[in-house]
This record gives sequence, C-alpha cells and structure tokens, in this order.
Amino acid sequence: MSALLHIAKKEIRIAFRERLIVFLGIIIMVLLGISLFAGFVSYEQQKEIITKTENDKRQEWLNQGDKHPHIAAHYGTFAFKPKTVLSLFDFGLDAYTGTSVYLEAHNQHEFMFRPAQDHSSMIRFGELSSSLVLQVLLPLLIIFLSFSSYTKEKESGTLKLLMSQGVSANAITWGKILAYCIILLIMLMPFFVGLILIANATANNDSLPDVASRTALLITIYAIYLFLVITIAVWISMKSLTGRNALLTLLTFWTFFVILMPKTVANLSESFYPLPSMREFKAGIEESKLNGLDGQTPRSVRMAELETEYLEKYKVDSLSQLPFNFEGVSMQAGEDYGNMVYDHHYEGIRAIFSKQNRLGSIASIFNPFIATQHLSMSLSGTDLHTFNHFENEVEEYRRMLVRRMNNDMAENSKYGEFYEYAAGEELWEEIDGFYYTAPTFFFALRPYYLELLSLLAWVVFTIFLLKRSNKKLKPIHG
Amino acid sequence: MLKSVNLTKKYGNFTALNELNLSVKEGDIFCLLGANGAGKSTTINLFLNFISPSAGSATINGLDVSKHDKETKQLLSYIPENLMLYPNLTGMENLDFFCGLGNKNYSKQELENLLLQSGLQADFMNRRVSSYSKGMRQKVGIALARAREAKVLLLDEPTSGLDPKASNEFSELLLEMKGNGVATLMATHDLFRAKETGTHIGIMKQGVLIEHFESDEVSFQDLEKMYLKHMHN
Amino acid sequence: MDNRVKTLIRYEWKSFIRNKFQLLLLCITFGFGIYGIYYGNAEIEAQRETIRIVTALEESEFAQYRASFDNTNSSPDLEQIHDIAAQPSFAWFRHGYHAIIHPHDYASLAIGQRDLFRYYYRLTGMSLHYQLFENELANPVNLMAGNFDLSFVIIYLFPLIIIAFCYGLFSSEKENGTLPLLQIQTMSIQKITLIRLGFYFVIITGLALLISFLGLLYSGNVLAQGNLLAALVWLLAVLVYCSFWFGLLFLIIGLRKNSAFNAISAAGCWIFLLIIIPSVLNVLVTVKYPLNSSTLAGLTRRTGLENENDQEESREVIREFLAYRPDLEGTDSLIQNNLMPKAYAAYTTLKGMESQKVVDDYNEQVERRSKWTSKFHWLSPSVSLQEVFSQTTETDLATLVRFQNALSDFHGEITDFYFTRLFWDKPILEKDYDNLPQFSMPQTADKWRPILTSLAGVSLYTICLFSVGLIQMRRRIEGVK
Repeated sequence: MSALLHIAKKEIRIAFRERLIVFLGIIIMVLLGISLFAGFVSYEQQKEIITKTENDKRQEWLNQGDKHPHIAAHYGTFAFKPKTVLSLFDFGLDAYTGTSVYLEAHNQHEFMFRPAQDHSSMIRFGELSSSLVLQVLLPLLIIFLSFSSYTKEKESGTLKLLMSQGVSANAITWGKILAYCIILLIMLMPFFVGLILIANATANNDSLPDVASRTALLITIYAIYLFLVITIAVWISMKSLTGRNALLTLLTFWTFFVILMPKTVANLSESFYPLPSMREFKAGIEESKLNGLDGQTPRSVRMAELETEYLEKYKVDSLSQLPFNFEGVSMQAGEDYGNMVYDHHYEGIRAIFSKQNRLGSIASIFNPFIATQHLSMSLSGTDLHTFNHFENEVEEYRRMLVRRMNNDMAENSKYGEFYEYAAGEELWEEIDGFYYTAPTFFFALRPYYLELLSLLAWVVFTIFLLKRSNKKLKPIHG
Repeated sequence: MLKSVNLTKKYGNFTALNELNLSVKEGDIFCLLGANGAGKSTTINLFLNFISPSAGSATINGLDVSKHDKETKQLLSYIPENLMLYPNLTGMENLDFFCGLGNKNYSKQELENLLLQSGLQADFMNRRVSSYSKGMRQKVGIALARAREAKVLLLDEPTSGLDPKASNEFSELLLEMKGNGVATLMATHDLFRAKETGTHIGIMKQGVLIEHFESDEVSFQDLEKMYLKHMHN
Repeated sequence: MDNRVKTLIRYEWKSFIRNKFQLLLLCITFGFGIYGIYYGNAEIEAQRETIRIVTALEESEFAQYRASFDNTNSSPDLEQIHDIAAQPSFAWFRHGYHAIIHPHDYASLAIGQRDLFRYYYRLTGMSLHYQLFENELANPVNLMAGNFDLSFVIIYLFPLIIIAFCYGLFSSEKENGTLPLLQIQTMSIQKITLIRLGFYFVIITGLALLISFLGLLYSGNVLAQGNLLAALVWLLAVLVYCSFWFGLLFLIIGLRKNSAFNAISAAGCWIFLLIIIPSVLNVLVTVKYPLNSSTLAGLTRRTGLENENDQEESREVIREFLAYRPDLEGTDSLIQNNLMPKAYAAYTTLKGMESQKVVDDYNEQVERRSKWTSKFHWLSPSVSLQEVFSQTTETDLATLVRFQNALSDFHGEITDFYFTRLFWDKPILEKDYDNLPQFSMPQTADKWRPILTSLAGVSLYTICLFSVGLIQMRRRIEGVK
C-alpha cells in the first residue's frame, strides 16, 4: 500500500514538472471557467427572455377581449421551451430542438426556431460547454499526461529498477492511476464547486426538479468516465513498446471514439430508419382526418353518427332541441378525432426517432464516450426524452384549453348561433398559464439503462484488463 | 546466499542458458565474463525473476525467486548497465523515492550521508538527474543498495562506459560492501576489474558456464589467455 | 533529378510501402471518404426526392384547375374546382406555389446548414409569416451529431493523417540514432527533411484530391455550367488546406524536439483549430448577441377581423390597405362586391407588412451575428475552409437566408397576381395560367470573392508557416554547429 502511495507521489511530482502538461492543464481550467461563465450568462439571458415573453403572451390571452370561445381557441397562445438550470453545464440538444410553439384549435403546430439556424455553419463544430471540455478535451489531456507512464519507465530502464525493489506491478499501475486521479481532482475541484454553487443558487424557480441529485450523479458519471480514460491510457502505455506507439494508439482511439463513431452511428441510423418529409407527414394527417384513420369513414359519416347518437341519447328530434349547443359538442368531437389522428401519425415519427436513437444507445455499449454524452444530456434535462416530455405536456395543455373553450360554447351558446355569444375575461382566467416541470430524476434516467450498464461494464472490464496485464508485466521481454 | 541449480532458459529452440550451477556466498564477488549473448544478463534477469526459467531454479538465501518474489527482492539490490533514474527528479529525490518504496524512511541528513559515502558530490545532490553523468547515476545506485541494506547485489555490466577514475571508485565501493558481507553477482566485460575486485570468476559461452575458479588461482595474464582462447574457438 | 534526391525518395517509398500501419491508415481514410460521398449523396437525393414530390403535387393541383376550364359536363365537384380555379376570392388563399431552393450538384459534398433549414415552401396569398416558420422534421440528436460528408473527411480527418505520417520525420531519426549518419551527408538535413515532407505531401494531398475528384465526378457533371468553377475551387481549397497542415507540421518538426512533443503539439493544434476556436466563438456569439426568436413566434398567430359581421369594419380595413396600394383602388362599388374575401386579403396583407418589420429586425440580428463571427473565421483555417466548402456548394447560411428573403418577393408576386383580379372583380382566365407567378432564386453577384479571399488568407498562413519553419530550422542547425 505504501509503495502505491509512494509511486503516486512521484508521478504527481513529475507531472507538475512537465511544462507542457501544466500549460495544457491551465488551458483546460480556463476553458472550464469560460464555459461555466458563458453557460450561466446564456441561461440567465434566455430565462429572462422566456419569462418576459411568457408573461406578455399570458397578458395577451387574458386581454384578448370578449369573443366567441372558438375564436379564442384559434387565437390561442404560445409555449416556450425553458432552459434548464443544468443546461449551463451541458447544452445538449438545445440548439437543435425548436424553442416555441403556437397552440390553437384543430392544429398541432410543430416547434419552431431551432437556435442553430441563427448561426453560420460554424455552429456544427459545436458550442463550448463544460460538458464538451470534460467529454472531449479532458481525455486528451489525460492521454498527453499518461501515454508515457509505462513506456518512459521501460525506455529508461527505471522499470527494472522499480521491480528489482520488489514493487509489484499492481502497485506501480494503481499508483500511477491514483496519481492521475488526484491531478484531475485538483484541476476539477474548483469547477465542480462552482457548478454546485451556481446550480443550487439558481435552482429554485427552474423547470428542472431534483437538481441536487442530478448534479451529484453528473459528477459521479464524469468521475467514472475520466477514471476509465485514465485506466485505458495507462493500460495502453503498459502494452506499448515505445511512447510514440502508445501516443499514436491512444490518439487513434480518441479520434475513433469521440469524433468518428458518434457521427457515423447517427448518420447510419438516419439511413436505416429514414424520416418522411414534413409535407408527407402533414398530408398523412389531412388524409386521415378527411377519410378517417381506417380510410373508410369520412368526416361527414362521422358527424352523422355523432348526431344520431346524441339525438337517440337525449330522445329529441332535432339538434336545436338539445339542452346545450350541439356545435360545441361536435367541435370537441372533431377535436378529439383530430387528436387521435395526430397521435397516431406522430407516434410513427416518434417511433422512428426512438429506433434511430436506439442505435446510439447500443453503440454506447462499445463506446463510453457516447454513454457519458447521453447520460449527461439526460441529467441536464437537455436530451430528447426531456424534450418529448415537454412536447407532451404542451400538447396536453393545448387540448385542455381547447376542450374548455368548446365546453363553454356548448353550455352557453345556442345551436345555430355564433357571433351572438361572446365569452370574456372570466373564462380566459379559468385557463391557467403553462408552467413546465421536467421529469424527475428517475424518470429521466430510465431510458438510459443501457448507458449506465455500459459505464459499469467498462469499469469492470478495464479493471480486469489491468489485473491480467499486471500479472504478466515483466520489465524485459521473454 | 545466491544459488542456481540446473538453471536453464530457452527461447523456442534457442538455449540462452543451459543448466547453470553456481553459488555465491556472503562476502563473495562473483564475476561473470563472456561475449555478448553468452547468457550473463539472462542469468542476472533470472535471479531478478524478470524472466521465468525453463528448467532448474534460482534461489536467494534458500528461497526460490520465482516463488518468493517479494521476500527475495527485499534482500537484493540491482544496478543495470545504464542506470537511468527519473530525469525530472533530483538525485536526492530519486533516492528518497526508491528507499520509500522499500519501506525504508531516512531523514534528509541520512540520505545526504548515503550519497556522500557513495561518492556523489554534495552540490549535485539537489540537481535534476538529467544533468548527471553516467558515473554519478551509478553512485546513486550504490547509495540505494546501501540504503536498502541489501544482502545481495546484482550488477549488469556496471562499469562499461565509465572513465577509469569512476570505475575505480566503483570498485572500491564494491569492496567496501563486500566487507559488510554482501554477496555480489556481476556480469562484466572488464577482465582487469574482474581480477581486481572479484573473488570468483566464471567464463560463459553460448549459455554454458565453461570455466569457474577463484580469482586468486590465476594471474591476470593467464586469465586473459584463457578468455581469448575460449572466445576464438 | 539529383541522384541523392532519387535515392532519398526511393528509400522513403520502400519504408512507406513496408509500413503496414500507415497503408492501413490511408485505406481507412479512403474508405471514410467514399462513405462521406455516399452519405452526402443519399442525404441530398432524399431532398431531391421530396422536391420532386412537392413539384408533382403542385403540377397536378394546377393541372386540375386548368382542366376545369374546358369541362362542359359539369358535376358539383368539378364546379367547385372551377370556382377555385377561376374566382380570385377563393383562389388567392387556395392556390399554393412552391418556392424551392434546389441543391447545387455538389451540395452532397458539403451539406452545410442545408439539413437544418427548409428548402421548400408552399406559399399562398395568405399572410407570409404564417407560412414561414415551420421546420422540417428532423431528429435533433442526429442534427447535433452533424453530417459525415466529404467536407468533414477533409477538414477533420486529413489533418490527423498528415500528423500521423509526419510528426516523427525528424525526431525519429534522432531517437533511432540514425541522425548523425544523415548529418554527415553532403545534403543538408533541412533539405532532406523538406524532401521527405514533400514526399508525403504528394501522397496525402494526392489522396485527398483523388477522393475529391471521385466525389465531384459522382455528384454531378463536372463540365456542366456552374459546376466546373465550383469543382476547380473545391480542388484548390483541398490543396490549400493540405498545404497549410504540412506547413504547420514543418514548423513543429523544425523545432527539433522529440517525437512525443511533436505529436502532442500537432494534436494540440488540431484540437485548437477544430474544436476550441470554433466552440468558443460559438458560445461567445450566443452570449454577445442573444437572439429572441419568441418575438417571431407571435407572428404565427392566426388572427382575423375583430368582428367579421361588421361590414363597416371590413370596409375600413380595405381602405387602409388601399392607401398602401393605390394601384388596386377602384370604385366604391368594387369594394361592396365580395366584401369578406377582400377584407380578409387586406387584413392579412396589412398584418404581413406589420410583421415584416419584426422579421427584418430579427434577420438583422442574425446578420450581425454572422458578421461578427466571420470576422474571426481567419483564426482557424479549418473554420474558413468549412465556410469555403459550404459557400462553394451553396449550403451556407448566407445562401439560405437569401432564399428566405426571396420568399417575401415571391409572396409579393403571388399576392399581386391574385389581388389585381380580386379587387377589380376580374375572374382568372385560362390564359392567365400561362403566366402564373414563378419562383426564381436570386443569384449573388460575388459568390467567388469571399471564397477566394478566405483561400488567400489560408495560403498566406501556409507561406508564413513554411518561412518561419525554414528560418527556425536553419537557426537551430547553426546553433548545433
């Protein structure tokens, strides 16, 4: 044990004497600082804008004046995707999901305005976030720090000297790993403290629940990820003959895992499960609304059925004899049918999305970078599942709003009349404003069990690898 | 102290060491002579358990090195041909580090004394090893052997490339340790040095120990003749 | 050629051929290049397919209208179609025209922002902004991952290949102990290094040009108008970019440090130019020019006249509209006919004019952003090159914004066509169908100037790198002597 600590101490001392390493370490720390600051500023800006616009739209809804409820349902309102507090850590998909949606009767509008559209093609190089630094850049620093951990000892012969002292390979390996972990801890400590402070200071009033446990797990996930990178780097150094080989191998791995594989998987998923165009999607919905989901019950038939149903139920001869305005009922029935049709078609799109993303999850088994990326987005509330959840809540809200308008119309207006009836602010006030709360911690993690498993499996795997190689380690060949 | 019985190492069809039997007692300095590739380093590496024997055994203090790695390592100290230390650490720090690994904690003063006794100049102790000459690095190696209070010293051509003065100093240090009862096994090309410092001399050829005698038994001239004779046929 | 140079090249070739790892690396790169070409083409072909479908839909819609004119045997259904075809009060909001930005033949080689933006719109005479902001369906996860097109292979992968091949050109000699043997030759070590660098330059740049050439051949007719120049510029850009990286490597090699140092600094430069600079710029521009798309969201709200029953209000709106369009003004009696459609047309146009201000304001902010970032493109030749590639293949932001702006002109044409008939109570005649509004994408006058400026900038970098490298190497060698 004490040999292990000794080796760790020596490694740390040597690392701090490497000017290139210290220089790169400082750059990483500066970048982490910038990313945290920029993420925070951007979060505050967006939050302010969204809160203000939400209030404006709420006032517009309340002050729309007296009008027929159905016109009010068309006037509608808007929903805006709030930035989550942890988005200051990981922007995730925020630049690529739409930010606002118009809510009105009859139509489900799609989310508009992906922020990436307001950027030149440079945005595709990525935006600097803390997660980018931790996921992409820090592994490189680890590679630079540890590629020669064993090869240097081999090339200079100190490995022989070490082992002639009776130090076990186990102690050398884990001493080195411990040293790199401590160096990273020293580097990252200020950042994580900053993150925890900012996240908790701004967490109230945010759409993201369980910020504390989310932050804790985020830190754990990154600790595991970086630990993996360290162990793999040390293992490869142990297996390589020269530092050059180790460095080249590690850089090749990095390029493959971090740059090539995620892109290739995403692109392949697109080829395997192609999406229809928006035009086809909309045409499909129109077609189903017109001729029914089965293609055989056109709208007129559906309406006639509804009429007979109500006439029989209330035992009256004409619609005007019903105790309420049948138009409100038929309007809502049309709405319900439209919703069903929309759900049917949109489920299809969602299914394609989830098949595409499934490939990514499967890829994460082979690539801890992808696993970490997915988990980080999910915990930060910037992943697709959180966005889908938001979409669902918005749609729920829209349906509630339209239903209330139609019910009011059925209750308070007369059959055959339209402009004669106007509702007012009391009705508008009955509709609460839309406030979004993201899914809880466990709900957010549930779709990512493969990713979690992958990280754990990788830890077990690398420890096993190291154990095996430690046993075989000899300072000379033969 | 050091003993090998039918120690054999094969790499495929190539026999690097063939049934070596030798023993080195306390206070002995056993010098192995022979051409490059004769099996000298293989012998030392086998005693260090850096490689595993194909047959036979190597024991230190009666313990088989391949079975009692930890225990035997505690008894020995090793200086390779070109002793490399951590270039970014000072001589002092290197010594402190390696002593610490052997669970021997010395004060700064004691470390300084060890280095001084091993002949390292005081003003170099706190400079980085990257500025050291080979002789200075070997001195740190000797200091380390002393610090570890090693009973066995394994040396792989320690004086090759040293200037005569440094070489001399090295020999004196060996003799001093011999006086303390250390058993030394040294592979070397230096016939003169072997005759001067060694108590026993062995000549190896193609993995076989072909001659083995006490150094008092022969004169330097005879040793040289004998050596060249073996090398030529 | 000097015999010594020949010997040098011959042996470099031998060791190159014998190094299986390097050959494998080149093969893999070639494979990725081919995949990039395939992927880009598949992606753009899908867009072309969608364009074909929507064009066919439009054609059949208008064919139906046209056919309704010479139909003598009428049925209620056909009559309804004829009404839509001939009466401007229906036609103005029912007839849909597609504005399409067709992909450049080489868009498949650099998809740029084309996957993020709509490339077709169906426009009617109704308020423009109600029709403008819908996104194309896309999986955000894949949008974020980006496209594996040829430009990606060239910008990201080729520098890595160059690094892998050249970082040890000088230092490995030192580490293998062969350097002294080279130093005692009559040829200077600096010349030897340059020749070997040149050797790999030919091989790697040759591979990049070969893949590009295959991509250009596969994606379109190289000799077609508009393609030839683009193809040449593409190849030139590849050449310039590879030269830049070789220059950088030359400089690093010239420092005469060990292999590990060279590899770390070269990889560090790669990270710096391809990840750190662009990502920092992106986040800075986001913070410096925060955009508020929620103001645009408000424009999509479907509003109508306050009270559609109030005829006076309708007339009021029409008069307000006519004040802007005196050319459409007729007699008072013209207003009385078809009051509702006219009022609605007037209302949405007025609203469109109102909205246009908001949109212009927003676009101006986007413009400011992209101006600010383009001021810093020179910081990273990789970013410059990405921009050059997407400008060449017309998939850059500026082109797409130009398309968006052209939409409002086209919308103006559509409304003119219908409003002149609507407000003057004239039916749409069969012969009018020969002169329907048509969208045309405005061409920019100076497509090539910014491209050539960027390329000149990167070339300048390259020249500087080589010069400093040469001086460096000379000085270091003299220092050794």
